[in-house]
Amino acid sequence: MASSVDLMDRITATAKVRLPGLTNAALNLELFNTLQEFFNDSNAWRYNIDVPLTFGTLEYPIFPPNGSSLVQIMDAEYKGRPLSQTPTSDSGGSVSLVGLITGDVNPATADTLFTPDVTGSPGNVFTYSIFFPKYITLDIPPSEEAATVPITLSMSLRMSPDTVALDPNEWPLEEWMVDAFHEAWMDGLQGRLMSQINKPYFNIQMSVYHMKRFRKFISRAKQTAERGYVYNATNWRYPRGGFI
Amino acid sequence: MATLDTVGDYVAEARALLQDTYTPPRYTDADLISNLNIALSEAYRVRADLFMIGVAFTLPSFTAADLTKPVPMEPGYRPAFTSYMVGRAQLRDQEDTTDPRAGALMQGFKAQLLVSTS
Repeated sequence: MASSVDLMDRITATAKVRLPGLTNAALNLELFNTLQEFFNDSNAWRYNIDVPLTFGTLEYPIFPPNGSSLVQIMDAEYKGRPLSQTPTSDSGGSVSLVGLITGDVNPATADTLFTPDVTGSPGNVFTYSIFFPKYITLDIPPSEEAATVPITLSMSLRMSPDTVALDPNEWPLEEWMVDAFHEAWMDGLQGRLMSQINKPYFNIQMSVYHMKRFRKFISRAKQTAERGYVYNATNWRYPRGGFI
Repeated sequence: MATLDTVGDYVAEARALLQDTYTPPRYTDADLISNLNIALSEAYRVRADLFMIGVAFTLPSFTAADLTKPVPMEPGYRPAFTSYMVGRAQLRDQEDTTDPRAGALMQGFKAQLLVSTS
């Protein structure tokens, strides 16, 4: 007999079987919380977008896909090269180069040519900052020529908070996620629910057990995503800035 | 078989357990529905998730005019409410033998909400 199974049916059915007395509402809420913790800490949900530049404009809003929200920017590229971060306040991000030497370098006068307060990012047209996970700020307004090419942002995502009230099968998840992370999510869900005092499924020992497994799965997912879901792939590259 | 969908279903099941199926009844519909409302409040205190829709909580309340209205409750927890309704109804009886029974029914209600093995 043919039957229709939605994406999240397996995990919700497994939870109902393993956690007697679990209500649908509590299941949906804690499953959502589990997935948010998973995506926040693993950066396993990656997504690339192009941000078109506009001549003379410093700030650009970031639009994650429908139903998702931004955890953080993992990387930014411009014309196929990594774009460096720069601070525009004391508490900003990192820079690729601190200090600037101007003029012809002569050993006798080199020290006087060095200006330690000037920051730069050789090899890039501009640098960028993310002050809030809503928009990207450049340090130099793009020229007309520079504005013809978009910046490519690699983002890590989580579900948008307003999707919590939806049925799990309406969450903006993709099939590969459910396949790859079923066990992780199940452990996180059981760990969270079993820690709730006075519930029929309360069991602190099993909660600790499942939460340990959940954190282990998060670490593994983080490593796997870092390596681009390729076994034994390198997860490093040459430093940015071309100063080696 | 009692389906326990509507307020009337809960009242009928409670009457069957109370052996109060003749006219005039010992307990009025209003009395039994009041017991149902108190049971819902008690359940809300210990198991708020039973009253959650999305991320909002709604505690329903009924009157004697609501016999055909559905009681929004997960199927697995519905029988517990009839235990409480019957136990609370028997609290007002004076016979010595009904007090332990009333207590047991009301304790059973709480146990069914909180313990998986009850």
